[in-house]
Amino acid sequence: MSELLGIYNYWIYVVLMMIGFYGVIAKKNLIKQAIALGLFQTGIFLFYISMAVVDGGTAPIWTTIGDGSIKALGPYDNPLPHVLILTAIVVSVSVLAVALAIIINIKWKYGTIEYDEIAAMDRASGGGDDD
Amino acid sequence: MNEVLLVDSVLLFLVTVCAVAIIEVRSLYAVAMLTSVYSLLMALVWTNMHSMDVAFTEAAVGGGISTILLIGTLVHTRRDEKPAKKRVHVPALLVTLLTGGALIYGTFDMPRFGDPEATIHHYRVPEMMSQTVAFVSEREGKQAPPEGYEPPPRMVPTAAPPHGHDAAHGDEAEHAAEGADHGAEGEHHEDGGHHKHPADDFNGHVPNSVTSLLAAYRGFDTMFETTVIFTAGMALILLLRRPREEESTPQEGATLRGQVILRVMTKIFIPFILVFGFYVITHGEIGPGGGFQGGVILATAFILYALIYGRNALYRIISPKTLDVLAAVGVLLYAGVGVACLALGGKFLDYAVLDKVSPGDGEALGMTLVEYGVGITVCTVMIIIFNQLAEEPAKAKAS
Amino acid sequence: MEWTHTVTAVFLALGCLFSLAGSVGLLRFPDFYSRLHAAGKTDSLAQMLILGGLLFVSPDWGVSARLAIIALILFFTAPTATHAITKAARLDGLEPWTKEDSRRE
Repeated sequence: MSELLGIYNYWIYVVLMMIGFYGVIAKKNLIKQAIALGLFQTGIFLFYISMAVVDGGTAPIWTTIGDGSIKALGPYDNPLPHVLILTAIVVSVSVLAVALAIIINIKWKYGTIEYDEIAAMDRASGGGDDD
Repeated sequence: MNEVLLVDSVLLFLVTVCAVAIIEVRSLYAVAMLTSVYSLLMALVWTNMHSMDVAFTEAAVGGGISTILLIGTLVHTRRDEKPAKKRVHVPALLVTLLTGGALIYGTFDMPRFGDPEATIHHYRVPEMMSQTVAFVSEREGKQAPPEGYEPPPRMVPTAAPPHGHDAAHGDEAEHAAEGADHGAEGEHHEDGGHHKHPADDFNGHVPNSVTSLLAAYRGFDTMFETTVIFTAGMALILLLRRPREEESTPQEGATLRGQVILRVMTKIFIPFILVFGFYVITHGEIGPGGGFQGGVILATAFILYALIYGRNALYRIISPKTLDVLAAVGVLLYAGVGVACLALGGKFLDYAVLDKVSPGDGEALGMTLVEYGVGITVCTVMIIIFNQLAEEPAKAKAS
Repeated sequence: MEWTHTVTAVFLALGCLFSLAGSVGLLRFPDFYSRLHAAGKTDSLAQMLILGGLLFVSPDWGVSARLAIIALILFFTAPTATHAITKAARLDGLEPWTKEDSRRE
């Protein structure tokens, strides 16, 4: 039981990633796809942060004591994955923003944001130029 | 069993339900709100796993900015997803089940959740930590200082360490046994040879090790992450900016000026949000926070102002041109600190040379400047993104 | 056990109770406005109780001050948000529920 709980977090990360993956493949709506990509990313974030946890650890922030020196109070979680994910989250919002901007441009050009309709229009206009 | 898992299992169950709902719900406005809920739940998960900085960022970015961006986009596009012909996409389901099965098979080889013996906590971590934070032993990673630990006196970068190299070596075993060591600290710079970080200094090692890793150990990486954000802002400008000849037209319909309560509350709270944003950036070395989070918080103040008073009012405070310039200034400030370090005889982004007398204070100064650089870029790019996504659809369509 | 811990426990339990009541109201009330009423009212009270309860166990003044400021800010912003949501719904033309509507439920 304890062994199973020990990898519970990793299972959830797989589940979240796969929910996002399914959304990216199965959904035709471009906004849905962009959000599903975000879910996929969050799954990876969960994986990293789960790896950083140490039994009995606390936040990796040292305390300052009276004379200005800093003091560790006990075991700490590994800060390195936190750093990686901290920047990754901000980059993910940038990715989302660029994706949304492209989606808006597609909407202006094609009048729709459903992928199958866009593909049909491209076929109708003869030629697969992916403008 | 790890006590973190108790709350964790409940939260992650909620997160999974939320994720399924995001994929299945057809109204895109509902999806935008669910995304916000999802991010806030995730922020709770991060807090539960003691990852305060990540939780902070997730709450500010995922719960705040992303939702605004999504809703801003939905104004341009349709509000509902087209109903699919089939409820379940069978090939996609098969692919995901197969991939998921393979990944879950892989997790059986992962170390147990919270295992202190896991490789990730030992491989290279002591070296990394000793570059930035005090009280790291070579063998045991992050540790408390020993009971009777006396910080050595401050020293100038070029001075010899107060205790000889051999002495540090001799103490090594004892220190390692105690589980704390400052000797390792001096040693790691032996081959680098340019300076030593005094172990007592407030800031050769900033208390928040996330920030110190972010700005020092992974300084290059963070610089280019900032550049990525800057590039995203540029992409938004290239994709969506139209010539603004409608500057003078009042957008009465678009503002909420008539809403007295909203207007008054906004006016009261914007100064507090700004102060909080600067506090988060400046305080990032001591507690959770930093340039990314603080920048997003600052941006929300401006976005809130634009939402209530209209974007033209925002442009009167800070013009689009100023925003574009500031976004570049942030990245340049970051790179400029690096160049300043080079000019002072150190390595790129080697903050310790910024203060000849006390390298620790130099590091504090460098990290604060760098955090402000990140903060300025993040803040302005978020405002740019909001402004571009909120461009009037009718005008743009005509162009 | 110290008395502060008992006080905190009581406050937290009350806060959770009010949160729960709000959630039940959110699910059970007939229309948008009454649901928001349940959620908004109970949440304001619940957050005051929870943050107030935590004040008793805060280790130093800095933490206490932060808790108090958070409580104060939430005390103002939460009702504002509720107001904004209801106003938006009203401007959108959503009619409040009346007894005659009950057959539509």
